[in-house]
Amino acid sequence: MREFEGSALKINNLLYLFQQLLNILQIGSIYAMIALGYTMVYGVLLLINFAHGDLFMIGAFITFLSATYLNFGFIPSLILSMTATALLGVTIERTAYKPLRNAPKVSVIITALGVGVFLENLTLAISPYPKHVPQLIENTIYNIKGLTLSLVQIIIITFSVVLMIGLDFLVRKTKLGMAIRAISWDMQAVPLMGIPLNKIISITFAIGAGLGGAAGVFYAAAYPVIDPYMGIMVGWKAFIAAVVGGIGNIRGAMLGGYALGAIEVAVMVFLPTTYRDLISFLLLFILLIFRPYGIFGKPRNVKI
Amino acid sequence: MSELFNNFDKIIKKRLIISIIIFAAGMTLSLCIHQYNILDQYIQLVMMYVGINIILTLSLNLINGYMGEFSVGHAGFMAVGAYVSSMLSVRFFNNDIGQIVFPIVVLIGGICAGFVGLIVAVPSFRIRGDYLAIVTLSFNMIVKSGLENVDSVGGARGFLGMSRLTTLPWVMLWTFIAVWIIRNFVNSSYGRGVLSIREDETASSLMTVNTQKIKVRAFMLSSFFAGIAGALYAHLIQFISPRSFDLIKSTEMLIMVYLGGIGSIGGSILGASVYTILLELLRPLGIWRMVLMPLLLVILMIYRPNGIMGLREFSFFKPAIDRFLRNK
Amino acid sequence: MSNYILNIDNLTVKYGKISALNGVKLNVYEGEIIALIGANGAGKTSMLKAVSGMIPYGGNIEFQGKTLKNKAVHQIVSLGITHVPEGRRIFGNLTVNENLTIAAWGRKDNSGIKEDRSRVFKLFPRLMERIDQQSSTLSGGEQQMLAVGRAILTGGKLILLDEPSMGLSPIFVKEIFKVIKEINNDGATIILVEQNANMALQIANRGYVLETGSIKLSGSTEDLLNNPLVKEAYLGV
Repeated sequence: MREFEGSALKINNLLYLFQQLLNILQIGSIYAMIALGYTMVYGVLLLINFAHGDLFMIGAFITFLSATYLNFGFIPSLILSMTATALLGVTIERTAYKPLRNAPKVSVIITALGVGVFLENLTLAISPYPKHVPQLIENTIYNIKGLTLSLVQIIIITFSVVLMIGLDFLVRKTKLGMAIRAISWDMQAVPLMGIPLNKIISITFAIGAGLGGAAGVFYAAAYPVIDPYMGIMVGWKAFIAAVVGGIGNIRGAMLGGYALGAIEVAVMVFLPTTYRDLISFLLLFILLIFRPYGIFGKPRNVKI
Repeated sequence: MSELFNNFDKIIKKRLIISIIIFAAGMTLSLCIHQYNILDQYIQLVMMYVGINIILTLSLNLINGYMGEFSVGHAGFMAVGAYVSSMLSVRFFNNDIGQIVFPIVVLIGGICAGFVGLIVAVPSFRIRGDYLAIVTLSFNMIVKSGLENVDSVGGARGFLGMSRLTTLPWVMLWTFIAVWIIRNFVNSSYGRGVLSIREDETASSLMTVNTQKIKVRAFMLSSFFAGIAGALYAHLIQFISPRSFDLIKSTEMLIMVYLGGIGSIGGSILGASVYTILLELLRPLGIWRMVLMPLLLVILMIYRPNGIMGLREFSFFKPAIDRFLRNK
Repeated sequence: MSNYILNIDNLTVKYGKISALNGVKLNVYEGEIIALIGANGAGKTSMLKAVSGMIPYGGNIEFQGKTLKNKAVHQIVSLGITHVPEGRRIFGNLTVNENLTIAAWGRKDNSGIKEDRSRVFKLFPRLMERIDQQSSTLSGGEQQMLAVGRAILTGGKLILLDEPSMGLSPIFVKEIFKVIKEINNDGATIILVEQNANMALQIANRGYVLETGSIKLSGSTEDLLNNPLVKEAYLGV
């Protein structure tokens, strides 16, 4: 009898672990997708794009608009949001950052902060109240031998993984990816290969912003109440994920996203929810003191 | 030769006199305004905001402008000053003594913030640039979410019960003190060390500049004044909550610094004043002013990447010796 | 003159208030090797950078009769000018193979790229051995090979080489110069900037001597090699 109870407990523990693992994968996917945008832009311009979290927010709001007024489902919303945020990312890069290519770096960072605040408050001015996004994915729950998983979880995790594998392939195997990596090594030498530098930088922004927009759609599907300031906190956390992975390092950013997801889920299992942010940032603080360039990053002599 | 030194002496004396006159005039005026309510309450309030923001901007400019580091989390220091002073006021001096000990309470708030500044100063020995920015950012988040979890200071609901002890003369006095001390600090040999860190840290440490000592002092001084501003703010608004000191507040401080121009006391005064007053003037626009402000900032950065002052300084804030050498 | 490939007329370059080149005139015939010699700071690198559009300049530069003014660097490359900058500037985080791949960015002729690739590997078998190696791990000589290999793949009609011998052992220097001559034999015009004046003049058709931003001397390589001033200042005879 005792033995039986013991093994039941073991199975329950294992199930619980798997359940939490799914939660980690869900929130981690969202962080990882946003972290990629930070890391890609940093890779090419050595710029912390402080407006990136707000592109994630815009992605969620476009989903709200398309689902509410156009009756779009998940995939059309995803395509629309990614396209729109990619275009917005390029527009921001062209109008606000490009004129400052030779300006002091702090000016560009302040500009990025300004663009972020602008996007937040513009959204707030247009939509003063939090919005409820209509259901994008059917609320189906599967039960596999006691393990419950929802369709929302499956879709978010699958789509994120597919998009990230695609990005990894693009950066590692294609000519475009080579050019993106070449820029992070030696920007001035890139045009000497006949590569249109500005175009590649814009494409990098578009990809990063598009992934951020996709994360916004996933977020809206999983946590349907959205507000104009939602991008600040989630954005900063994703930024931390990028730093933990070694900013500029693409695979590092993905791992950083999942690591952050794991920490958050662990905190929520053992402590009250309100400790979530405190512990995440405390760990980051300690990590940075002992490994300033992230877990996978290499020191790089930069000064803002 | 002696004539030259006489000349130098004269400049110093002249400056001292001008400083005293400005200080005396400012203090008298603010006392009169406060005592006899010469100006509208609302205008007095805006003037106090301007003063508090000048202190904050100077404090951040010391780190970001003069030392060339990039702190994104100064609201964290402000929070320390605000919470410590408010706790003291409400728990211990919630009576007539409160008014008398107010300056001491503010001072203690500032000193506590100054020591908390060490938490960021020490990592800055090893970490630079973007990474230090992230350290300060996470510091800000730790303070904010830490406060949210301490029930004795009201947690996320916030903390109230302070009397409105911050008055125009107090703000005026602390603003003068901040300008005076930071001006002297950046013009002292320490300040030269701070500037040399901005230009090239490795070279300065090779030139026997004790960069660690300088960084500790600069960070402590900077966070001290951020704490002072926080204490004044708390006793003006009479309500503080962790959200008052989040990254949005830090961003606002950054905007004021870079609006005015880095490494410039004149720029800090100008940046804080222009920002605060413009925000008030645009109040009729409602929420749209919060849309317009960042837009103006972006446009300013594109056309004047170094802020309004653009690395220049009013000669009044420069050391007399510079002026003496130039006029010679 | 129709067979000029490059005309530089009254070229001035300024860095702030300091002028690096003041009114330089230089013409290059198709198929030549031109050696640009001069001391440090004479303006050699600035001249190459102006031609490839990396820095703003006054005066005019024409390539095959068309002005290069206000053209972006990558546009100039696609017109047929390849610049191998000082210090090699290979992309250390890319493999040898990737460096060669993106060097051919603007080219559409896949068969031509393939041909040039095998040409590079024939010239530098060492690069073939290291093809999937991260190029920051290559030795200085190998990096120089890669830089020249990239230039072959970019496939310009005019190739600007900035100090290809810098920091190389004498054996490598010989090899690199041999390859430069071969590339020239295959039809590319070359402007060669060198500290190693002797070597440069050995393979060049004509030479220019730059001093503090102006052309001091020019002529056929024999004339320059026999010029007492050149002998004393640059050949160390």
